[in-house]
Amino acid sequence: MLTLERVTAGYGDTTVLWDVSLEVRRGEAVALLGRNGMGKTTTLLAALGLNPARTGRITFKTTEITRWQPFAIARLGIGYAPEGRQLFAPLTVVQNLRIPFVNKHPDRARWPAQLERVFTLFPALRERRRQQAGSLSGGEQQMLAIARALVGGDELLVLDEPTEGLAPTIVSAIVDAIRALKAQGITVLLVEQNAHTALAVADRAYVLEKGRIALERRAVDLARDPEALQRYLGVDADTALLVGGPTR
Amino acid sequence: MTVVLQTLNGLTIGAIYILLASGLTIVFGLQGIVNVAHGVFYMLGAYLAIGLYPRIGFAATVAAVFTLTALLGLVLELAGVRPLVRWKRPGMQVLVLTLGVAIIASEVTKLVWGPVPLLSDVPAGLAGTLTLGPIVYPTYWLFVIAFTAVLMTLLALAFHRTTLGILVQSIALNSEISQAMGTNAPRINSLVFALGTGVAGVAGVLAGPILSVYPTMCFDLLMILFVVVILGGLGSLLGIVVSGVLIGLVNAFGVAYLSGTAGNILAFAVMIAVLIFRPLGLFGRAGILK
Repeated sequence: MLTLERVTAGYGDTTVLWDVSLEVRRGEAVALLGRNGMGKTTTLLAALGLNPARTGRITFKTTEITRWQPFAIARLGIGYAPEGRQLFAPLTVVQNLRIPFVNKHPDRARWPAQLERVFTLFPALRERRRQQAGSLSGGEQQMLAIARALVGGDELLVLDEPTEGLAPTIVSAIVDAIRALKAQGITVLLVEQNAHTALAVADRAYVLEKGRIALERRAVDLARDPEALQRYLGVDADTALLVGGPTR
Repeated sequence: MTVVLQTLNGLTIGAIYILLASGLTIVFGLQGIVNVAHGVFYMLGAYLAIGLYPRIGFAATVAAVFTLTALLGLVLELAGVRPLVRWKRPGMQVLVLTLGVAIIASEVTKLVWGPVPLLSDVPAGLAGTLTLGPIVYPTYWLFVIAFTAVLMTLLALAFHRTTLGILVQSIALNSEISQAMGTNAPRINSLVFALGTGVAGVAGVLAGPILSVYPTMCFDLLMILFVVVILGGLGSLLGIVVSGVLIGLVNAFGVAYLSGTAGNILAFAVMIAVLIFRPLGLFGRAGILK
């Protein structure tokens, strides 16, 4: 569904990504892992056109989108929940959802149904619908960020650090929601610093090391590879197994 | 009595400031650019009105000038501003480019209409005075205040209640994220820029019978507009309404009680005093329209 071929990207004079190639297939959940500063977010920004690739080729479905403007890429059906939520804080919950809906959804009459869909997924948002996004708790803000990525009728969800800074109970609620979306057939590309969380939801994982893809594995295999986990991600394999195993 | 009269004078001038500053401040909120040529559309509106009004009437003049200045603004945005913004050179380059446009426009105006100040007529239907108890005041000046109040109310409603308004707000809050949510920000930015220059043209039509019409008017008002925009807080619509009224009043009372030049001096003094304590202006913050 989304393919990156030999993508190079960076900021100013600095090159952050070298020859990154990866693929997200329809219906899959793919995790992009790596330590801080290895190029995970840069990869997403290149795919979304927010920091365009310098060289290489990016394809969504059958369309090459390498040099496209971000809004045009988004309108193809890519929902994005950025790192740090980046909600429109003074706008209400419903207004935050309305923005991607009017821009992207092909059928305006589906608005009530789309709202109902995200409120079913995140019931907490229903009670807060008239509140300013900035007044929500961290967990609710993350739910809204994911909901905002969803209401455009999107087929691919790009989630950047969706559990960052959240309490463990909230993390498991978010993980459940991502699993539920995957069960509905939505394709997910997930960036996480927390390997445990990522491997708990992903089918496959790529590991970025200094701007290059160092490893590509099935999530279950990576969760059981203590050496790789330790080497690339600096995590303890036992805890990874604990969350990474088939929990339900 | 003079206090009431000067207050009304201040509100009238303030209304012109507000109409002009609205476009400047919203465009800054969206694109982070300052359009120095904004006054050109105001000047053009004033000159066109002198020729148009006797032929097609006041309402049609307002409509025609709005359409024309909005279209010219659109051309300036698409041809001049957008390429610079796209190449990530918005700040200084746009400033210099629009300054160039303003200088050329001012010189061309001199060639076409001559250097001598003109005064346009008060629309026939709005001529004369209104008597409000002990106060007698020109109807047309009250009309300018009312027109601005209605237009700004409509603008505020549009920003808060309409889908386009919500999209505009989202661009002002975070342009990149808004685009990642599918917002065609370049198109909306162009549209808002054009609406702003259209309103500037209308401000020119309205100001014609109040202030004189001359080829450097596009610069003279610009200085005081910067005061209004900065004092209100760049990007804040509520800010320019409050600071527009404030500067209008300072100007009117300064001129009435001190001297002809005191108005401008006081206006800048107020701005400096406010900025020392509130560097972002009265209502300045990240988002617009608060």
